[in-house]
Amino acid sequence: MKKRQIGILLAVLLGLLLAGCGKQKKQDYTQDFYAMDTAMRITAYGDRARDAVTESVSYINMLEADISRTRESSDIFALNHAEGEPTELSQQTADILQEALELAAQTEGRFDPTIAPLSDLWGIGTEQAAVPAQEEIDNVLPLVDYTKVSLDGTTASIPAGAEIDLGGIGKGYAADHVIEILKENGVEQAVVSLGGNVYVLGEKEDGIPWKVGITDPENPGDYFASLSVSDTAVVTSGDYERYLEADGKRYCHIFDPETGYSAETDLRSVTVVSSDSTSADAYTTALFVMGLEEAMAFCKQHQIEAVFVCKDHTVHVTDGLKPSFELQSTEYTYAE
Amino acid sequence: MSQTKRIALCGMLSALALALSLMERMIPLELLIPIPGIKLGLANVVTMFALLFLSPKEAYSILFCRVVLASLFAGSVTQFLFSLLGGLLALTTTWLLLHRYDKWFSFYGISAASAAMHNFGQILAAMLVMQTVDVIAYLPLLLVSSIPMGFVTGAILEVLQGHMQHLRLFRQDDSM
Amino acid sequence: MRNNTKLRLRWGDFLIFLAIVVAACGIWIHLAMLQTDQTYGEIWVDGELYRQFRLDGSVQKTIRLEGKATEVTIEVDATQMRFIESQCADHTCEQTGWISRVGQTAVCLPNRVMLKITGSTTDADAVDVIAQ
Repeated sequence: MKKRQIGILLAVLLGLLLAGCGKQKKQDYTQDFYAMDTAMRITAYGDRARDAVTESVSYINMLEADISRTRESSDIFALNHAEGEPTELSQQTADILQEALELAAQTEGRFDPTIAPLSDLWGIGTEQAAVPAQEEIDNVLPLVDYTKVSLDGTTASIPAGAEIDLGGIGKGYAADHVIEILKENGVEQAVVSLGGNVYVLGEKEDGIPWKVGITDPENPGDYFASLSVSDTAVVTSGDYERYLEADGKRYCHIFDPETGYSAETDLRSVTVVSSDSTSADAYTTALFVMGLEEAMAFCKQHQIEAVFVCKDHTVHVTDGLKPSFELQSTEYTYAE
Repeated sequence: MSQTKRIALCGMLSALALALSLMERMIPLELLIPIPGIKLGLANVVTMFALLFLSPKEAYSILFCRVVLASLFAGSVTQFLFSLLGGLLALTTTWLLLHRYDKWFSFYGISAASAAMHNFGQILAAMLVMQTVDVIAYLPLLLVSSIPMGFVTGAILEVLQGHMQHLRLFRQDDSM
Repeated sequence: MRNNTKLRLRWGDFLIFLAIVVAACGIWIHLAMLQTDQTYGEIWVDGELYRQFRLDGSVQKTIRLEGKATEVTIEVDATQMRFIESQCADHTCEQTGWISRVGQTAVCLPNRVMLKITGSTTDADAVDVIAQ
């Protein structure tokens, strides 16, 4: 009888020991997955991390089903193939389109959700990528015009031949909503990276912010600087993401809707830090097209915090970000 | 026990082991230990049972049937290697320790040792498959967890042994 | 007799438990002492870990593997790894270049192959995530 008690005691002690080991570390859960044509990763901390991440992944899949350009069942596919007829959208698709149009207006079309016919013509990122003839560019350029999109409630219409592509803010929009889902599930700490669109929730540890690296445009696998931030989105766009090299020139995947060519700019990358990931996503594109001087002025006017990397390897940081910015590579110089 | 009965029993036990090892896939142990194909080793209870109430030869046959069938049903070459190495080590350990059963060891100790060797075998397989020794980092956790696992399987065997004594299937004279 | 067999542990049982705990602690302490800035290079194929290497300078390998769409060639060299070649349409992965610091990734999207650097680091410059 006595031995039995000892045995039970031993078993209980071992159980406690194991449970104790588990308790020390905060529960975390990471999921890597592919969606919206990119690699995504969500890491959440907390007791319900797993459920929260699972819910986030299914949300992204659902969002993609609505706004994908290539899926025939999506709202956007229907709108793009309606030949000018009004199309009924889901509430969600209408919301994103509404936001995209507002951001296009605010950036005076430098970010434009109707850029698709032009980017398709160039085909950067596909095997058919080539510099098109001026005539071809002139043909599609009139189709790129966000002001011709009409959205009334959830009914939208675009001119025949024009195409909407919400890829420019889709990942940003997704990140904002993933953060909402995580919070609803009681998650207070998380790192979300939707194809390089980063959102950090909470702090890394009490009083210690997360460290977010910024991609080195010269060496896209590496980072050249870091930002110590919490509760914010960090979104970067640059000429290194997808590009076409022809006639000794680099044509990047960000287009200037005015010229129909890829953006001719003194910038190599733009990083926007904001608690609103959707607008940050659109701003990176717009600021890149503007070029440093105009972009800096735009940031001041609209209170946007950003990091700019120029072709001459100088790095410009808006005032609000200076305390959290840390340059790590000696290849770049910090312009005070 | 007649030959027919033994063969029938072996078949049943193989099926049970297979069911258990397929059931194991539903337990997401990989979340805790990120080695693809890692298992708790529930199916080893069956082979230990066979070792106790049938013979080593039959226990090894059941193990082999289970491993082959499980990887045919839902597995890969990787999983085959994991289960085989883990299973063989666990079974051999059990077999050796059973020689001193009741004198030196109880089912709890034997099961714990068996579980520990099962986990060791899996890590060994992981080292071979992934071509790295680094997975050994997971071994301490797995080893310690084999003690409570041993209590679970030990208790199962203890209960089974009690019941088996009452069944007519095995009489005392031909059970060991 | 039947009634008190529930948890009748023998002396050998405790020996087994002790041996297991000692082995676990031994390995754990040994690894803890070794652990200084250990980084690993990982190859993930369609969300599953395919290979892991200790990037301590000892590995020099070229790996060809079948991705989701085409064949991919990966090079592991001492402390870094990269995509050498992919037959896919975009070739973005080849342009990514070498990766070597914890947190860095390189992805071949059409093939769903991902290279990742993981591990522990005492590098003050290390980051939690990279905006790309």
